[in-house]
Amino acid sequence: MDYSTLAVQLFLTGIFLSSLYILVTFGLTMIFGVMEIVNFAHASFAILGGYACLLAVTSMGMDPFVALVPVVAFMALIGWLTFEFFARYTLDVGDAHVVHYYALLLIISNILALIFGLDYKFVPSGLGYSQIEIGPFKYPLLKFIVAIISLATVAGLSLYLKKSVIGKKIRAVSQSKESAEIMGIDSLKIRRITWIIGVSSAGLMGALVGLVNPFSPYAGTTYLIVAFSVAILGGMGSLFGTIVAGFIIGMTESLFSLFLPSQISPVVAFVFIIGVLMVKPEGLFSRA
Amino acid sequence: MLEVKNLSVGYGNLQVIHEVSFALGKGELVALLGGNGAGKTTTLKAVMGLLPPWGGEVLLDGKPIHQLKTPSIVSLGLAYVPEHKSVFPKMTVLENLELALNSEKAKEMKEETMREVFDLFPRISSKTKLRQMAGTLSGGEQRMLVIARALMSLPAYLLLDEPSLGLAPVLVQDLFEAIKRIHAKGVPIFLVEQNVNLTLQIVDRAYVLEQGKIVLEGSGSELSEMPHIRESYLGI
Repeated sequence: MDYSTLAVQLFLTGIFLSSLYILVTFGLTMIFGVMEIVNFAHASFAILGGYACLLAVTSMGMDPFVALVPVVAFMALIGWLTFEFFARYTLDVGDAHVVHYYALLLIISNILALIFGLDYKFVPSGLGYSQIEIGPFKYPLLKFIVAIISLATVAGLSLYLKKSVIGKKIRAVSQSKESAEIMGIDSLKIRRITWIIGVSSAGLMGALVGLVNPFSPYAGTTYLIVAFSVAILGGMGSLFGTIVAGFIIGMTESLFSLFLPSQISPVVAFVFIIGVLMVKPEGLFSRA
Repeated sequence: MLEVKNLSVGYGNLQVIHEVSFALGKGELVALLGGNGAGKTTTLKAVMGLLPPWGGEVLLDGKPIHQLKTPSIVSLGLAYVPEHKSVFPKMTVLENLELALNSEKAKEMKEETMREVFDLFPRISSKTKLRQMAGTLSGGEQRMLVIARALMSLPAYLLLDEPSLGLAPVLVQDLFEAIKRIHAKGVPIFLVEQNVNLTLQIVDRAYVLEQGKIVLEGSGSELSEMPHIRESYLGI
């Protein structure tokens, strides 16, 4: 393998990792920005999405990529239910909500463990080791498709927030709830929509990860740590910061995979958290 | 007609507003005057549903609205301009204005309202200003944007909380001129102010709030002749 091939491989792997990191953090940081909630359960929603996709493919015989559509719809329903019966009661409790969301993480993880057991599972993609050829370079087709879907979702969500009426209202509530309410914006409705988008995007991310990596009911914490690193580096609540920070961490992790065994690659994220907290504790693109 | 009857409001255990009553009729410009801490902002926040009233009623055209939430009150046509900066700093001036289009009628009339609003506040009307992030405007421009934004919703009643606070004197003149012109278009305005001198010159009627109670009321000219007003507020 010559150097240019290696460089392209590392670049594509970086894009692949970044796309998933950005997708999982997008929902987390949106919920933080609009609801002021640090959603520890985000990881368990991702894993739930993985199992939903697994069921759709193995029990219902769906094509894994077609299955993503009902998985997102199912996750939106889960989002609506968890908002109506859980999240809306935690909106004004202050920092204590952290305990509630940690409990939700444990509840969802344990329910999944009861149903599916502790074994690692993965969603069969049917693509095996197929490679995509980009000029002289080759890359696993599966990872390529996953990255495209993640990035397209993030781009779509960004555009939705930027251009749509609801998107503008979501941004308004995240900038000031009281100012939004005196514009006649129903902040509860906006928070409900935000929560549903957040949960659905976590579920989609989990389903995509499930196609590439094996997962278990408790595997979500790895992604939670990455999501928090990306969110902290980008400045909690800043969506633009999330995208930039996601690329920084994904690319760096890919680069370091040259020198580090893959088991300790999350170290990269930790180093970034420590570095950011020392140098610029408010993150690169803080909201305030 | 917007009527407030025996309104009482407070924070925690502390009652701030004691059975305050006032009214704002169609086409009127009415002021609520008082010093710092008199309870003016608290009164407005209670009318807008941002603070729960302890007692009393708020009636809009005879119907009670004091049990409603803020967005519902806004949808009935009350537009509120708070005293603190309430622009959305990371949205453009145009996006800020468009957020106020919360009724079908306001959407239909958008172009026309916008022309009128720019005529009132030429400082924020240039093409480059419209694309600028609202948070980068000067304090005075932000104040104008918030009033302009309130007007975009075609309010049935406009409630202004100390719009002149912290503005340079020349801007205060411009602002009061704009308030007079909005009033001349027939929009009823409830103006909360500390700038008693200028306010009494433009209002139809005014109420004076001290320690959470209305102590005086009368027309602008009547009040400016009263010894208590002259001594305590006008410094004459």
